[in-house]
Amino acid sequence: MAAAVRAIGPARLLFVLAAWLFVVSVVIQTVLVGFSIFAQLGGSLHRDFAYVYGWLAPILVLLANVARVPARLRTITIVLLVAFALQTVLPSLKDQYPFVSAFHTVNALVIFGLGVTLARRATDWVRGLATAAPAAP
Amino acid sequence: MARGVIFAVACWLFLVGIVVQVFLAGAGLFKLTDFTPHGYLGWGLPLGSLLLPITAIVAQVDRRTVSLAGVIVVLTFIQPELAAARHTDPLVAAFHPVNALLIFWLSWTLARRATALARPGLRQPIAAAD
Repeated sequence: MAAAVRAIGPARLLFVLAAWLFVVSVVIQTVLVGFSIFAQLGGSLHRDFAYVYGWLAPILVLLANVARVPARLRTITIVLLVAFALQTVLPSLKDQYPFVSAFHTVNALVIFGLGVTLARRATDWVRGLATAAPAAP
Repeated sequence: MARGVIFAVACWLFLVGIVVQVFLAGAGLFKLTDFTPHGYLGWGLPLGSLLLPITAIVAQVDRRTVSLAGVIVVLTFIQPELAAARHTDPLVAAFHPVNALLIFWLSWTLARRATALARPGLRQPIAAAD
């Protein structure tokens, strides 16, 4: 077990952890938007929470480089960062371009899909590393 | 083979319907339209979802795939009820968008599985589509 953890390395474990934390945050963010629409709790919670967990998107790009993850996973982290940046801009376009702004909800699906894909693939990759690690003497 | 293709096409059409429905929700929220188109499609999608398990059974896919299609039907039928609960139980209604995420993810998974099953010779490594 210890040998497997050593073989994976802290940066890779952190990467997987951050990826799953991002997915959980997106789900919480979706609950918050539900509360603001249906329970009239105001949209500020939804907006403010985006700026709290939004840091995970650039952190994932950084960790992907530090942990030397496969190129495909690294690409997903970059696409996720771009999609997240776009997500914060879309609501501000509602007065000039409401059609573009309406894609805020569709982009949320994209972010969720990318997040889950990243987290699952990162988990599978790290599991593979742990399995390939030599057993402790 | 043809039945498998029909099942795959039904899955992808349903997924497109979900994406359109989510866009219509955004259109309502950002005042492009009101929520009427979102509401109409919201009552149509549950009926459309019934095609998923039916085409799955006709295509003779594995039990797990049929079950997944069944779960999507249940969640899709619950979805408009969640929105309708906003007057009586707003905290329950708040899970309407989360359920949408779940329906989207399961539909995406089902569409990929159905595509893998429809391809000749790819019936065995279905786990790769997960």
